[in-house]
Amino acid sequence: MNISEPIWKKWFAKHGGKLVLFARQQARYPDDAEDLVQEAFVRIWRLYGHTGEVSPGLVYRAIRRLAIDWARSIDRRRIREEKVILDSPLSTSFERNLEKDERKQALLRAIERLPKEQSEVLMLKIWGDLTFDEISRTLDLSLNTVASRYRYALQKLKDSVPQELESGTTPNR
Amino acid sequence: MNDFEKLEKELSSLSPRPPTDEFTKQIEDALGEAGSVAMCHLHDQAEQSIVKSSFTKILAWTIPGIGIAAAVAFFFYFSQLSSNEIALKKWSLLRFNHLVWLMMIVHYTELARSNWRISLECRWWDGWIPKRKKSLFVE
Repeated sequence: MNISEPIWKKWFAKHGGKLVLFARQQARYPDDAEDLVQEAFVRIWRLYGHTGEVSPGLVYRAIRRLAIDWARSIDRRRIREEKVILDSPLSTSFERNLEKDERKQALLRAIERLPKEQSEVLMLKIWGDLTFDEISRTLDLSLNTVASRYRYALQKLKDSVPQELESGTTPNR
Repeated sequence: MNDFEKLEKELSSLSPRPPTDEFTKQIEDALGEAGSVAMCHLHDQAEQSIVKSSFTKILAWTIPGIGIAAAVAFFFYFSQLSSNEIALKKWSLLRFNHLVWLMMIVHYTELARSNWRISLECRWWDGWIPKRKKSLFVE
């Protein structure tokens, strides 16, 4: 029996998917998401990993800052990558079994239509399990701004899911 | 607000895809030695032996502690008997307070020392992580 394993593997299995999802929202190009996660995670783990206790908020913050830095330096790749953006909807970051559920598909389409500032708050709150306070520190925003963006996001989703459902089913009829 | 709660539940049910094995391997390579600094034991027996050894140590130190406390209690009891009845009534309350204080000091000193002993068992550099950190890797 294997007697030990690095803690980071358990940590990463738990948070890795959420980090990639967040990185996809932050990265200018979807293909950069994994690179961003890798860079941010490795940097943070090298600093704090020896304690065995790393707050996911730290990695989210590192991803965001790296994404900003990278966006400034990778403009030359724009033309090649733009096609990938069209080919890689956010739904590809979620479990495949969702394809069977029409409502969940509609929900994902609605999330993709949210403004970036709302979807990033939604992502950190719902899938990142961060508190509003942690989100405000991660995104360098005030607590009120974070709370109101989250509320707006939910309201928009609530309003747009029925429309998405309708538009999603119409072509099949 | 109920609609929002329902929507939040619905959103939570959409789970992001876990990282692929390929990506995890990529991270492992990038982490290098930094990845193996903090380890957790998966073997139950290793953990049990640590718990057992710390328990026996606590027991070994607690019993003399109780003995000392009992000896002090007897000392006060017999010293009370040797005094006359009036003095006993006058000072018994005060002495009882002293006894309580003394026993509390012995008890808390023992408790603090036991906690310190336990914390020594949880050294991360020995490849074992203190229990409070376990929440990190429990799904």
